[in-house]
Amino acid sequence: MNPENPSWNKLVALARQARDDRPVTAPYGFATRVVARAMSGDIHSGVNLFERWSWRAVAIAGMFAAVSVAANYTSLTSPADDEFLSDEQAMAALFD
Amino acid sequence: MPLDESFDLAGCLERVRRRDQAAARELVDHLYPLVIRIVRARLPRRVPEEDLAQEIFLKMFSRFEQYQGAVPFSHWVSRIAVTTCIDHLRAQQRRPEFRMADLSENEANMLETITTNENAASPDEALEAHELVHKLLDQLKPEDRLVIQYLDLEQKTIAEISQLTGWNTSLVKVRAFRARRKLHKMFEELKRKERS
Repeated sequence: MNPENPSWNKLVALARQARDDRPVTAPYGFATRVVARAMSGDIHSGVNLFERWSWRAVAIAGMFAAVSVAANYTSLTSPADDEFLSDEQAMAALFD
Repeated sequence: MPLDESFDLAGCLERVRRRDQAAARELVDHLYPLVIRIVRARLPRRVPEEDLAQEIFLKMFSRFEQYQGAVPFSHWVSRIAVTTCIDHLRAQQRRPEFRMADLSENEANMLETITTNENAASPDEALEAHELVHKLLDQLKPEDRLVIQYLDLEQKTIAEISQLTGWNTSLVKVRAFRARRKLHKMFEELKRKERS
């Protein structure tokens, strides 16, 4: 099913022979630095702050939505026929 | 080189949960070889490997409470490492087209040997081949590139890749197919340009 590509196969076979002699142990002080940052809370603070502000934003947006629905309740429930101009009235208003 | 099997991972994780800093440092030292290999294999350009390793470990600690033990801890960490590398690779802009001019003289010669000669190139050229492979892989989507690296360079099975990435086996196969097709096209294009 795979497109046959002998050139690629030869190339990766050769690339696999390349040795990586770089050390794989953590550099001196790396673990201490990482753990100090992780445990100091500054990792959580960014995420938590965003989360906290997001929830506040949702609550405030919800409150605004409720207030605007309540304030406009009567106009939302009343028949809206008289609020629109008929075609003739609109044309008349336009050319007057 | 596999991770140190004598390491008491379960005990260490338990101590880290209790916010034991010494245990957290031991955990970082234990997992560093795993993380740094993933980082080195997929290192985005212009990102120092230590910075990326640090970012991965910080993510690991910040999500520590989410680890439920459904997969081995090393797999869980390797998924964080892989997704972090993919995010960085996505952020860097890919070149719209791969050109012969992007290659060093040695790499161009290597490509010519590979595409025209029946004989394999010399093992002394392994490093150039490795560089060239990475330049070609840079042209793929980060997820497709990752699958090909695991399959062709690290010779992992589809099931292993699925475990390491968290993608199902069908998705891994689809990504491999798509990546191979793109590589095939790239080789054809390079051959055509070389002839003209």
